[in-house]
Amino acid sequence: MTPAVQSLGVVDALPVDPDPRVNRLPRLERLALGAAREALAGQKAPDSLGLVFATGYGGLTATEGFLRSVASRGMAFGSATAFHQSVSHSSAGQLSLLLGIRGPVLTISQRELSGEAALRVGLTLLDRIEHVLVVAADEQTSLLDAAYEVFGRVFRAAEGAAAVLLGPGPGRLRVERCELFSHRASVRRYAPPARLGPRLAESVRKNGRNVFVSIAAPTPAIERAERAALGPEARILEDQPGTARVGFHPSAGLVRFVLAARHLLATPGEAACVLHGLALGGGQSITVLRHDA
Amino acid sequence: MRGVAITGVGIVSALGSGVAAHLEAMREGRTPLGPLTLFSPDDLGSFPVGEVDPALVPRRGPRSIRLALHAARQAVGGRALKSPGVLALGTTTGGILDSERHFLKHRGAIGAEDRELLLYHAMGTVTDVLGRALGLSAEGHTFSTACSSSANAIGFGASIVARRGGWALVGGVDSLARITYAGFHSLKLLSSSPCRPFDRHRRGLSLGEGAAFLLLESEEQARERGVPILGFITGWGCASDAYHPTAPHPRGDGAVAAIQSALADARLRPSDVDYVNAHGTATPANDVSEGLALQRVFGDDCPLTSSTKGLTGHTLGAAGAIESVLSLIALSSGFVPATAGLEEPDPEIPIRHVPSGGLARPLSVVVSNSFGFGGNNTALVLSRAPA
Repeated sequence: MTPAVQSLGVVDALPVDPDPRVNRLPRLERLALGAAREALAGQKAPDSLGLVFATGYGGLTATEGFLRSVASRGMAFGSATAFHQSVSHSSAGQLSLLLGIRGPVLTISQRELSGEAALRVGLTLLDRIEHVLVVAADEQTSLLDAAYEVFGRVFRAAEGAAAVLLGPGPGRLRVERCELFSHRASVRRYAPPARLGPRLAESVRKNGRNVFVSIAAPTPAIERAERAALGPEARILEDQPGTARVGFHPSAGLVRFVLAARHLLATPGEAACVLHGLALGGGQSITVLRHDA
Repeated sequence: MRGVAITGVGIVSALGSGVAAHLEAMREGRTPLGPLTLFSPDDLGSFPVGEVDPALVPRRGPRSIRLALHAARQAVGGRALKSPGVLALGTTTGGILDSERHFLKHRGAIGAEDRELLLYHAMGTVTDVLGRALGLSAEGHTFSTACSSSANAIGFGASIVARRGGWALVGGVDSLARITYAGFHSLKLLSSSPCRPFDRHRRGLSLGEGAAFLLLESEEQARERGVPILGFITGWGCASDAYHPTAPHPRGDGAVAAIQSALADARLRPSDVDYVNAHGTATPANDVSEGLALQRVFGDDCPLTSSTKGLTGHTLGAAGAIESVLSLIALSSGFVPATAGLEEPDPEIPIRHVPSGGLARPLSVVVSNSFGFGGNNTALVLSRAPA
């Protein structure tokens, strides 16, 4: 059985919910819930459903808030609410509660490949459960922006959330490949172009004609390396599923996946999309999304 | 799940370093929980914790990475893992011990000063650095499902090995940190005396720190290589309560589903289980909920059950891995540890306690439970290696 993409959701601005309880949730959970609800498209969650939630930094606002209160008032004055919202799994727990998911519920945090790693785990879980909802969300805070600025390694920091419902095929789209690799690199650097280039080029070459590419492009230098590896023949989507539009954050890989899937659905002439992901610390991912036969 | 052999083990906790030290401490029922020295608790006062001896793991440098490397090197044991594999690690705090130092020193302002303290904030950096330091060619996965994080890392890695063979280095790490120390205090879950799981007079948990790793290989590969098989991972079950952001389901719905799912994965019946290494945090809600869950799964014939958190403290994201290794030690040594700190069993918790002082008894199948915030429930089944 080849896993099929059953539905999709994406959020790039904080949604307003008619339920005031939802609007009181932390920003990260609202982003994640917005994407998850869109992917479930108003239907009741399937009975046999698991959830894999991806986040690079979890509830950063809550973490900062907790530490701020400890810094200003002392260790005895941390907020209980901020503490549990700072736990990375808090959002997944809230989603499971609000959506009634009682199957496996996991949280994955794999730096800037968190979305891709969650997709990989979600595909594996399909051996155990019929449907898996993969949700990725990261929030942007001024502190995170400042940290990225200091390290000087990001093209355009952003935030967002995306969701993909996976299930048994056949469907209109299938995930043909989703692989993660690690290369030797320091914690603050991407894999060197000589390492990441060959795998990217090979993954596109193997998929034949009518294939377009969504590159990671976290920095101008890496973008040039990706383009050089692909050569002038490659068809790189410059707009919809590109980092230039969605920005770069730990969940951006799944956002690009959803946008690429929508592009494929709207363009029957395209055969497949190769999505390239990169993370600080040497991580690389290749995901291939294809029209199902 | 079939054919997932354990061929290497590493562990470091407040009990010491390595399998032999942990077996000895289990036999002695030694409780190393004591005052916090890693950082100042300031106005909060001192609650007992399980700290790793600084002679084993120096306090300089990113602590989670130091702890993880210490245990992972034991598990790998100098073997060269040249072929591509899987590195799955569970953690809840990653490198936050350092980034919170930066935050508290600079009050949230980020400049050039001390910026190396921020390098390991993202949890995935622990996995990256570990893979690089060990020279692994591995796809990295960092699980962060609160206190069940490393149990899920183990279950995931095992399921990959069961499906496609090869190897997986699986485990978890968490260091003590201000955010968890102050955070569990804010939830009124820290005990002012060493924790007493399942005791009528229990008052909460004691935090700990440590790391543990298992090297998993397909049984076929292990036999071809002629390496000793220490045991097997035979089942993984995971289920959500969908009940409350922090509290467990009062009747243990998710825990029941996780244990039943793990047993089904192992193709075993409840009556096949010889020992349960319980989550047993010593919080009032967890212990009652887990006891009811065990009764619902096993009925009146509950297997011998104990919690080892009185020995190690609650090591949060590392707990699932540390307790899997302690379960494996119980399987291989035939020594079942008692619940350290348990003096007067809570009559509302219907489980069969391991007698004080522990018990010498051959075991074939052990269930290790790990539950976490957000209603996450995970159970692993470990089975003894053939004699």
